[in-house]
Amino acid sequence: MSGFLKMLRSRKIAIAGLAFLGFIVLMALLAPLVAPINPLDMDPANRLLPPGKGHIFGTDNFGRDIWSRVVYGARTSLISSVGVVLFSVSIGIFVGLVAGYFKALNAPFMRLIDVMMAFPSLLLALVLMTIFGRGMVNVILAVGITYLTRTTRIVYGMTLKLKEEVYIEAFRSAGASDLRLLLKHIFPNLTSPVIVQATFTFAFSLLDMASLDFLGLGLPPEIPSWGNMLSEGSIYLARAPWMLLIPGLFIVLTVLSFNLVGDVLRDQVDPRFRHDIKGV
Amino acid sequence: MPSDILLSIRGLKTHFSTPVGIVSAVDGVSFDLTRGETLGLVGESGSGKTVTALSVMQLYAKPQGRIVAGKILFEGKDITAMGEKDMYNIRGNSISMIFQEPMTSLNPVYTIGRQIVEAIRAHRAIDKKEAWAIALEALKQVGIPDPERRLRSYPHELSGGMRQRAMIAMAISCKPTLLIADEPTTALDVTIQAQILQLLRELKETMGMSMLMITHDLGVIAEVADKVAVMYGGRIAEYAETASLFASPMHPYTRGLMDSIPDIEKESAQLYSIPGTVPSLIGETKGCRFANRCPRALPRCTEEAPELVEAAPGHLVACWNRLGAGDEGPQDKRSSEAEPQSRRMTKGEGAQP
Amino acid sequence: MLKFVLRRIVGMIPSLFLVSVLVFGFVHLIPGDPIQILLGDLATPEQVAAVREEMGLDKPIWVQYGKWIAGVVTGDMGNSIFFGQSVLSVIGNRAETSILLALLTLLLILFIGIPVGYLSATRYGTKLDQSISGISMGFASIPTFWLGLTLMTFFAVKLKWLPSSGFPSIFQSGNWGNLRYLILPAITLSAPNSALIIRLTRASMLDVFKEDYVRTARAKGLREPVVNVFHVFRNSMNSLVSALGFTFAGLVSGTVVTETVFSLPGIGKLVVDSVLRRDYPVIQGIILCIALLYMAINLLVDIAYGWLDPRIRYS
Ligand SMILES: Nc1ncnc2c1ncn2[C@@H]1O[C@H](COP(=O)(O)OP(=O)(O)OP(=O)(O)O)[C@@H](O)[C@H]1O
Ligand SMILES: [Mg+2]
Repeated sequence: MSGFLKMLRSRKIAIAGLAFLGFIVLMALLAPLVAPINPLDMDPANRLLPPGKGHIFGTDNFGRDIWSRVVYGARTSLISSVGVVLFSVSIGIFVGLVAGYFKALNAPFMRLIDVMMAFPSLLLALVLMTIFGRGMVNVILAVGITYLTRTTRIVYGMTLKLKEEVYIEAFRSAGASDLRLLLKHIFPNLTSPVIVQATFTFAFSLLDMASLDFLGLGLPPEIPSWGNMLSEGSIYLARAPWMLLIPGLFIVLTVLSFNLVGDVLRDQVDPRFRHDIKGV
Repeated sequence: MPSDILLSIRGLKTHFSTPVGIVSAVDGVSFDLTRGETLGLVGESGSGKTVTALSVMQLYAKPQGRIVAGKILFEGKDITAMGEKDMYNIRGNSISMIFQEPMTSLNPVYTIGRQIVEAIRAHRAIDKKEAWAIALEALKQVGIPDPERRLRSYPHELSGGMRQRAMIAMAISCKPTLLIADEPTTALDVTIQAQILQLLRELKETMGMSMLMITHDLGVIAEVADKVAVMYGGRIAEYAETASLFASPMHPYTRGLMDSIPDIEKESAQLYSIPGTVPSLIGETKGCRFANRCPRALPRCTEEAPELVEAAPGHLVACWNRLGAGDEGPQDKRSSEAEPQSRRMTKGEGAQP
Repeated sequence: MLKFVLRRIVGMIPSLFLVSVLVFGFVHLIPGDPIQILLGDLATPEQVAAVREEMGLDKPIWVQYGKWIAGVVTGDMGNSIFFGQSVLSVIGNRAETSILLALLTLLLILFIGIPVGYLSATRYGTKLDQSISGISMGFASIPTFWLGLTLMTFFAVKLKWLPSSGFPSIFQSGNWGNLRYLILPAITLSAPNSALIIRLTRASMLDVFKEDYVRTARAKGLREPVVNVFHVFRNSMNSLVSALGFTFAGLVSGTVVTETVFSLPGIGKLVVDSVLRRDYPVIQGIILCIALLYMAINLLVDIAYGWLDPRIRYS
């Protein structure tokens, strides 16, 4: 951790990223305080107002306050990304560990994961959404499944390497049980690479979920989310470009911040595993 | 300065800036290499031998690495003051270098022939066919069997010894005046080591080259070197004719190195090794860098760094309390050595920062 | 070499089987009755039963699978519910747009990604390198559709330099000028993917810089550009090629979004439309084709690997 702090100091831009993430999280947590106007309140008399007094980011096609929607949208977006990360990481760790550690399970599990990778992530998410139907939990599941493959492969690869390490062998011959080896000796080594991967998953799932919203296959339109705001904004891009610009900037900055922090974290990871992690 | 000195290094300091501080890998090295001779540069792992050689080639890691002081005179011209353009003409042409790791020092995706031809055509304005002929000649010279076929082989198809021969062929293809061999035999089997050393010695004679032989093995020095420079912690501890050094080592470190050569005839149960570890090269050090491990250390040694001075004709040493004739050395230490695992000075043992 | 390829193809059979099962199973996982959807809400139960029998959906599932896979092998993937035509011809009609867009994008990615990544790696640690890294990370963080819409607003709506949407077929009209319809989409699609290739090229070259043989190459007296191109870049190509599958997947995801943004009559838009129309046979056909294409690309990657690296070629 101290290495991470040192690294941060040498890359000032990552500090900015971290600060921005802190800002977004605070904003999401304190939504009712920072955005007193109800994000769902329509005001047809004040449609498509440009940014200015009263509505700092303007209003949308229903006269709803864009700042409020951005704030509540941050909530939605962060919660769904956290959901995707938790889902994909927990399943990924489990499958990767088991498939990597028990030789008999290598082939069947990893074959399935390889085959899943043959379906590009957004396409797979689209297809899953047709099965599940629109909704927040469903989006988390659909996107979570597409990101599961990456975490699984990383954990699998690391487990394979760690299993061969001398000290693990030593514990095994000293009579340590499989469960104990997995939990006490292999798992702790996985945490930092998995955290790095989780950071990138966070960033990219945010993008993918925004795309799903835009395509009309993500969250139901009435939920304020950055993706849904963009989807509506795209219709009014000539008349009210701020509807598109503002939520877009929030997505870009959030994703960028995650990527910057992820980059610094990755450089901290044990070089043996650095190559397994797929950020951009 | 007499003109029979081919390479003369004076007060060379090569430092690296790293996240943990400045590493003074080479910190005031001076020695001379006489034309036609072989100079052995010997020292433990991490003592700065490779960095010294790479400084001569101007190939130390840049931009972290920097020559902060000193001169490297090659044929009277200062290499440290030369630009990249001039260095292109020196590297692989008048000074060639071979490395420790024959397994990784050749590019796996090109044939041996292509890699040698590339070296030749970097310095000679000749066409491919002529270059191939020279490459073939070089392979013959280093004793590779079936050289026509080997030119078309990829590195992975050759054994370690053969690859090192190919490296040597590449190094001599432009008939250099100086050949730097950085631990050329360390990674090889014992029998092959002897063959490679023999080959280098012959080539040096037939081609009239001079050689800088880097090693951590005094046995190699005894076999090939005319003069020896003993290196410790980025500095030269002792510099002498090989015979003189073996007959009467003056630096306690040199003595320690000699004592740690396994003596097969004596069958001593335990191998002597110098106690302690190589010092950290980070930051400034006051005094002699060997002081903390030295059996003869005086209070002065930790205060003031000793200069390299001529203690006997042609025999230079940097020590405040050098061994005179008849000195016994750390014989008592040998018996009291308590560590069960004796440590040898092999690759990777030094404390790396 | 031939043996190696054959072995790889045989090794792919279990994966192919799994892919086909997943694609086939997908329709059966969808809640609701596909026949009802096919016939509409007004169909009587008798009609539904009749069609079900006609299509063989009353048979056991493995019989249905057998029938389906037999069809797929002969190029018959059923009929589109919406168009009534065969799935293959529906996809075929849309292929021109997607293929042209993909080629154009690939060209941009390669001609931007590799040289810029090379520049960044050879100027490692300089201001230039840092700016390139920063900019490429920025591009990787932009949602594709947002970039597309923004470019469209600016270059098509405001400046009117380029058309904002649609793509009249070149194949039918013979008018290559129509390519201008694909310029903005290709830029949109290539932005995040170029960023990926830039970072990949840079990272893999930086790895190779540390290799001993690079030091050997310098010690031979080769000039820096020669070392960089023939030793560093050449050896980093392995990692670049192995990322091809990954790039393809990113390209497909991006195409779905980009074609929707620019209303291009391509396969990506077809997927989205089919999902919204619940045209399952078409969705099935497209994901099967893309999965097969992905596997074919990975096979090519393996072959290219052997071609690039003699250690693999001869073992
Ligand atoms: N690029 C670098 N950055 C930082 N420190 C370096 C660098 N290159 C070498 N060093 C340091 O310089 C010191 C001397 O290294 P050098 O490789 O010259 O030792 P050596 O005598 O050749 O040892 P060996 O027998 O292991 O080859 C070491 O402590 C090493 O860590
Ligand atoms: Mg060395």
